[in-house]
Amino acid sequence: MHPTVTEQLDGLRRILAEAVAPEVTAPYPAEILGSVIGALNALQANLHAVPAFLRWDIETTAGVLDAARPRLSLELIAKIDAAKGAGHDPADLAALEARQMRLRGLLVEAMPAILAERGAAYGKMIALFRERTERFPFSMAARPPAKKV
Amino acid sequence: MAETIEHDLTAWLADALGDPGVRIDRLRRTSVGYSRENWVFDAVWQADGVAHAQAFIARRDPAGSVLETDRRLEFAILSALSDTNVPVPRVRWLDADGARLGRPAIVMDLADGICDYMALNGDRPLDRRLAIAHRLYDRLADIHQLDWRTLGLDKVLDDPGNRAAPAALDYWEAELRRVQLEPEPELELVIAWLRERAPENAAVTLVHGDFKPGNVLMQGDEVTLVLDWETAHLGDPLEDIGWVTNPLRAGEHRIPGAWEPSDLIERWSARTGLAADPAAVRWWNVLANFKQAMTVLTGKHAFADGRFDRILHEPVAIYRLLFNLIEA
Repeated sequence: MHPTVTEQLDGLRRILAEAVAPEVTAPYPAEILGSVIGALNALQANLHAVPAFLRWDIETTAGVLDAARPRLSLELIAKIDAAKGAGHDPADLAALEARQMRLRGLLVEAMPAILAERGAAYGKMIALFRERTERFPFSMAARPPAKKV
Repeated sequence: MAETIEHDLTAWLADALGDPGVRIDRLRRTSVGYSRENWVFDAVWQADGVAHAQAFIARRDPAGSVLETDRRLEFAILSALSDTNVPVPRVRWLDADGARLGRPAIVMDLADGICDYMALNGDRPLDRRLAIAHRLYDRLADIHQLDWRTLGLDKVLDDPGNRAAPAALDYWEAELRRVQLEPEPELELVIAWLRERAPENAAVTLVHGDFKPGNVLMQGDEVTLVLDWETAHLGDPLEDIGWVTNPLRAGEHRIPGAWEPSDLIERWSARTGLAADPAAVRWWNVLANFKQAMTVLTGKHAFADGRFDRILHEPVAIYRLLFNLIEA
């Protein structure tokens, strides 16, 4: 399937960098174009890691919620079970994104109980949060401009 | 867009300066600034038969931003500070509702100088960088010593009393609810930590809100203007101390081994006569990073709405620092 998604992203980046950027001289458009090219680079480099990250995030978040189960309301447990039990295609990226968002929302709902106990679920949650910062496929580097007038 | 801005600015200045023949030259949007559009230009006009020329900067609200603030407050604060010992840009005109430029804007005199984010860690010898640090953070102390009631700022800004910390947390939590695109359990954990430990403030002062080397204008080694007052408010001066001692921005605010947070706080306390309780400073360090994360989330929200031109991702590096600060 050529051009592959990776090849298309690389081609778009090259076109912008080689055909468009040399003609863009105004400061603001030039800076934005540079950030677009950088974003395409990041997307090309990290796109393949996204499904695996989402699957890991879903499974680990579900593990935290399982550990918190004894402290949760029946209503919340039912919502967690429904979210975990919903069938899904592991290759369907949109479905993975929706499932991840659902479970992270349930983690927010469970958090008061987790914080009140400060037990095993709390330890698992902190471990999830910390490992998640290492595994997250994209970086948000706050990089201020060097100088301005 | 530049053509429309030039037309609208010319009409605005013609009215403001009383010269229908006013001319605008060299209008350009500067590339820096994530929160406001900055348009710089030269204006030439006649008044009482005398020709005048002045460089100006128009700061207009963008369609989308990492920060949503009020130009009216910025204009009022800059006007109030114009005759104090805190040097600020001279503000000229306010377009509070966007009637002139389509979105709210202020016009200020453009001053000579540079903003150098890395002034404390650039090429200068250590003794000069240390002297700059003293001048820079003395300006912060001067801000905290302003008599804001005499300046009339109590008429435009809310006084939080001794509840500056919970008031700030309420504000930023409301901002999170407004802009979040998805659940943010990491920030919920931080909110819970902050809620349990919010300190009472001993003083209420004007707080700059984003004080840093990149937000002052310098000529040589001198600090000539304090800029970017869009997040200024009344609150706990330790909010600014927590901001400038934030480990995330250490590269901008510290000179390793020569200008550490303890040096900054000691000098600030000596100049202001105010104490800096370490637990309160840590609380404001945590809130500083919560605010940093919020700028990213605000930018993500604006990007998703098609109002912001940069792609931002989950601020995981800030989360990591937050977990360390709250010892989670």
